Amino acid sequence: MNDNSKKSLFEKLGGRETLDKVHKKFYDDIYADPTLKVWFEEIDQKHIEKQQSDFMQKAMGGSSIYFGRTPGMAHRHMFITEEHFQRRHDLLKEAIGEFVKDEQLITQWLKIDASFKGIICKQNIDDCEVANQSQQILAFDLEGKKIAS
Amino acid sequence: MNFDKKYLKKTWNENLEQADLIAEYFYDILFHEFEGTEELFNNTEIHFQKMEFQKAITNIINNLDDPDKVETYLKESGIRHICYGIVPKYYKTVESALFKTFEQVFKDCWSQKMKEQWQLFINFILETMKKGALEIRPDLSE
Repeated sequence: MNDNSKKSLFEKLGGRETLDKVHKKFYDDIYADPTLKVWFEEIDQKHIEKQQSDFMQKAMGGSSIYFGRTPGMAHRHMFITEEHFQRRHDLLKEAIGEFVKDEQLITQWLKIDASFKGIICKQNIDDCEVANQSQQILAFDLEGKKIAS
Repeated sequence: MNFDKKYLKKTWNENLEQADLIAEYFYDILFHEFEGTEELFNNTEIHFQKMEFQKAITNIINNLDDPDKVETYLKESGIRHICYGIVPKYYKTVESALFKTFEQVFKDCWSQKMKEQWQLFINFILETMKKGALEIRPDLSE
């Protein structure tokens, strides 16, 4: 094993600084996107940027500072379709591409993201599940209009 | 896949009532027999985790005739598990817990052939998950 193969993805990408830059651009684009912004109306952008960086930092081999819910749990009340997921994934790809030039590292980052598709996406609104009585099912079409559950 | 797919499906389907309890058995065995493993699930609701586990095993068995689909599914699972802190160094523990789980699930018909075939199935699951995990994190190679 050479020195480079001992390095984690987190190190190869340039550490937390790169993650923060990518996620800033990523969520700037999401919060401006007509299809995706509706999902984040009640979420503080800075908070979600930090949470996403914390989560990816752990996944990529940086120190483990993410103590939130798993993505499957966090999204189980949301009717997220493959089209929503793909739109989000495309924006992530664009954001990574702005700060990372190594194709292999880009692919590795995107594979982590894509691995959650099967857990997060749902075929039917009835597949959504609320965690408690105060939680509501969230469902929007691709134009950002609310779908009645 | 170096195991007898038809045989595994047959034994699974012949014991569906027990097979539906696989997640219950797995987490009980994991937490009681392997010290410290419960902490790995601190960020999750165990009810939800059990549901996902049950779905995953059922999904793999039902799709054994579509090796590409199963391989993609397992590789992605390996990647997701890194995010949860379950990295390849823990796979030996998972392997033991899984084997004991199948032994419990199929206890009424746990023959030598069953033992061999389900062990091969477990090896396949974990090897494929590991492949997925190492594609994004080669630094985790042991």
